[in-house]
Amino acid sequence: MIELYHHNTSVCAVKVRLALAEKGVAWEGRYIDIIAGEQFTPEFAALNPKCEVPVLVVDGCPIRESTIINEYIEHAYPDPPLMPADPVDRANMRLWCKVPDDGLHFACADLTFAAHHRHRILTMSEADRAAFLASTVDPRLRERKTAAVMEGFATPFLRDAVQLNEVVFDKMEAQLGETRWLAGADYSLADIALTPYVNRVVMLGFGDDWRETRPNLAAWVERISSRENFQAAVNDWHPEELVTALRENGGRCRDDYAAAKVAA
Amino acid sequence: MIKLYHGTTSVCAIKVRLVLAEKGLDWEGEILNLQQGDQHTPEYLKLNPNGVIPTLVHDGNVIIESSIILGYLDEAFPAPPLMPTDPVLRARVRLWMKRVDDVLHAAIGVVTFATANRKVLIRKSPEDLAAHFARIPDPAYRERQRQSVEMGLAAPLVETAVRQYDKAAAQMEADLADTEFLAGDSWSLADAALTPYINRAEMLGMEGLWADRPNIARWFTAMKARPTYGPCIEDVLSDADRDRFDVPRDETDARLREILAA
Repeated sequence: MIELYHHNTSVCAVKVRLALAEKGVAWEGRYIDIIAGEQFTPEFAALNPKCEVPVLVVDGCPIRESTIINEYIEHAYPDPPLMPADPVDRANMRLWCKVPDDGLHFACADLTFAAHHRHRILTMSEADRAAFLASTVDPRLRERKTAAVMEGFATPFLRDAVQLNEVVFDKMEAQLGETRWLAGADYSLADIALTPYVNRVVMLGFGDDWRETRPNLAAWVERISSRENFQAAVNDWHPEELVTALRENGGRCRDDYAAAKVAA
Repeated sequence: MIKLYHGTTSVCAIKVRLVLAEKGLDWEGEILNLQQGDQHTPEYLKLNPNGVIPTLVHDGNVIIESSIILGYLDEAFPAPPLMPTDPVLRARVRLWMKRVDDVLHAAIGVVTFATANRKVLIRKSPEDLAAHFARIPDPAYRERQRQSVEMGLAAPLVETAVRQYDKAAAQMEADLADTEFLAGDSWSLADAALTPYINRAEMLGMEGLWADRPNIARWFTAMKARPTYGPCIEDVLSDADRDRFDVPRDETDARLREILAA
């Protein structure tokens, strides 16, 4: 039996749901409300000491880390293949899969907290807000989250986050000028890995000019958004109010994002 | 034809040398001197834009990132297999490689710069030292190095590094409870990844981490007994390397015990 402990909008959970949907694997969902702190229960910590979603549990065996979960899914369910056959192309695919793990993930959190979550968090009582910010297990993430909430785009973390995003988008634009998908001729785990992060930026409205500035990336966004797995893994888990809120909150920060792109 | 751009003591390079040796592959090596900045030349940056070692070039194809190189070598040269067949154990191998990449690599870097590299770097004039730090492209890495060199074992980053290693050691001890190797009954990419990080820890005086962890002690003895260990790790050290790593190990040991007792 396959169980997935997950949350609706968590980027890493989206990654795994995309792979499961593409493979047509049936799974039972165990919803963890990370806004309410359900990831900190002793039961969940036993599955993942880092208290993060997603966790795939296969006949009682927990597998954590979304990049690793997706490699598991690929190996356990080889059809349809989500990896190139050639080892060189696989190495390139894995280099793309590493991009979120090497900084883009933190940058996405910075951006989302500064543009969107902070509005809700700043309405909390001081005690509740302090408790919420202190609850993040990873000390690096805790520091960045606090800065993003308390300072918004004014913190240097946001300048770095935006500029890292832009570097990644430039690399994607260049790659997609040479190959149809990130790791070659076929859709793969590389496209799956980048989808949630690019999609978050698109939902916030920061990719609105890509048809002119990054046409290859814009076309890739169209292609991944119209796949069946996107409907099942992304759209079905983003309620209308959230989609609207992300767009509106992102719209309010449009100038901040543009300024961060060029800040020293 | 396989060519590896690497360094004598580099933990990431050792991972790859071990796998090349265990696969019985012929390869040509080019040694980069990191202390002299060979990794920052324009020619090398064309191969590896991150300016780090190792880089593998196989029949003209450039592969970077040691964990990815390990996966590539296992797939391009399937015998002997270095990944378990069981998918759950395969995930365990990947988790170890990720833990090394995400946590242990920075941690051992901090302790290395606080001890062995510090010994060499503080001989530089203040201007030369400042210039050395200025050449480091990644700001986070630059700050870690600076704090480690300036403060030595007293650096707060050293405390973090020791605690991270201790957590990893607890997990290694658990994973080695019922099996000979980290991910089952055969040597795998997980063992390749962890060997240099335990070797480096021992070189610096951190073996207190497994004083009360008999499974790790047993595993490390077995790693050292493999025919590939000497040629890949110890035999490549230059005199300058041995001098650099001739550090007061008892001081690191004392600091480690102090941190873990707190």
